[in-house]
Amino acid sequence: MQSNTRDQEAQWIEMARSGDDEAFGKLVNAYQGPVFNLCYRILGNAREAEDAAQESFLRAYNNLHRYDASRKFASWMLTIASNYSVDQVRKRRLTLLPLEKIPAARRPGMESGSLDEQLIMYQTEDDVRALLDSLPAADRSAVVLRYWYDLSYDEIAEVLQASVSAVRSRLHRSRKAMAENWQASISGAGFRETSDEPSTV
Amino acid sequence: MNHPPFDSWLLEPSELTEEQRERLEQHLAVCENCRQHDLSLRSVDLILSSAGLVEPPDGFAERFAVSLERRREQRLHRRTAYVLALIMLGSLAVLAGLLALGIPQLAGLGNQNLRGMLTAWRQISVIVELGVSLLRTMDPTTYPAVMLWPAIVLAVMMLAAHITFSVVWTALYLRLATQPISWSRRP
Repeated sequence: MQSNTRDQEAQWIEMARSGDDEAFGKLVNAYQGPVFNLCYRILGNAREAEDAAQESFLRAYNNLHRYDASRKFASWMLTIASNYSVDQVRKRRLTLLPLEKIPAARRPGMESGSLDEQLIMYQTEDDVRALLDSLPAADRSAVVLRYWYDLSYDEIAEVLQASVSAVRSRLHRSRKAMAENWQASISGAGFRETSDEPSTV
Repeated sequence: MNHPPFDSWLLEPSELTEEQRERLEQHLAVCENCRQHDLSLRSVDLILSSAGLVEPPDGFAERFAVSLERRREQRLHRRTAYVLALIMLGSLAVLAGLLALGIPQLAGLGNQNLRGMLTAWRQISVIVELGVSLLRTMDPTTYPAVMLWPAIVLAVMMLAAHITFSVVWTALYLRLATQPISWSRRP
């Protein structure tokens, strides 16, 4: 079954390389969710995530001739999305607005469900955002790949183009930092600011 | 918290041996700091694991198709602008060449005024002298000016064509390069 999916994916890639936009559209349909989620978790709001995901697919489309077929297409797409989103976070240093003034867009799909469920979802999302925002963007990417995509260290290393030991130490550092931040937040000290996103510029 | 090796063991509990796990449990039983840290790590794991995948708003693929089409148009417009710029530069080179070489050869046969003007850097003086000569044609007794007529007509026509082309090109360049337009109909 999985082999069939990969065969079909390889076929779409080949067709897209030959200029078939419809085939590339199928790849967009297949990977829009993972790519958007990665951008959203790194950037923290839906509007920027949409732009970043769109840009990631455009970059993939323009560089399809460079795609190495021995690599998983999903990994390649996530590499593009992660690199672009991390760059965008770094560029925020130049923005004139304090980061907390950038409105946090609602999570798409949050409007469904009962009021209680929505409240829990909002609370969870706020906690997730606070935890991720307390990390440098590059570490955020590793955490997202680990928790949301359940990737192994090897796979994360492939996506982030880093060594396995670097990924392992990045994840350890991130988990430790998030745990300390969580502990600080429940004891009333609040979350610490992330190292590569100053609160005011 | 800094209690090696327990702080690093807390980060990878699944990789511990049975003996290490027992030592960790014994340590947690007596160390409040490590116990709190363990609890925080578990809470973070739980929070991150309970947040699901966020899907993009509906119509993502359609928006991508539109955006792809727009990029293509922009690329086409940029390419058009580059081609126009090349034509412009080419026409400038042709004009300079003609002024430097062609006109004196066409009009300067036996004309002392135009001899020696075979270098490009004297274009401006050629144009000025052509203007002066144009004025001199008002006097029918001026022999050299009569000889210059074909060159003057040619130069004026070329200058007019060149100026027209420059204006059109600049307008097109500004329109295409700064405000790309769509030549295809959209629904």
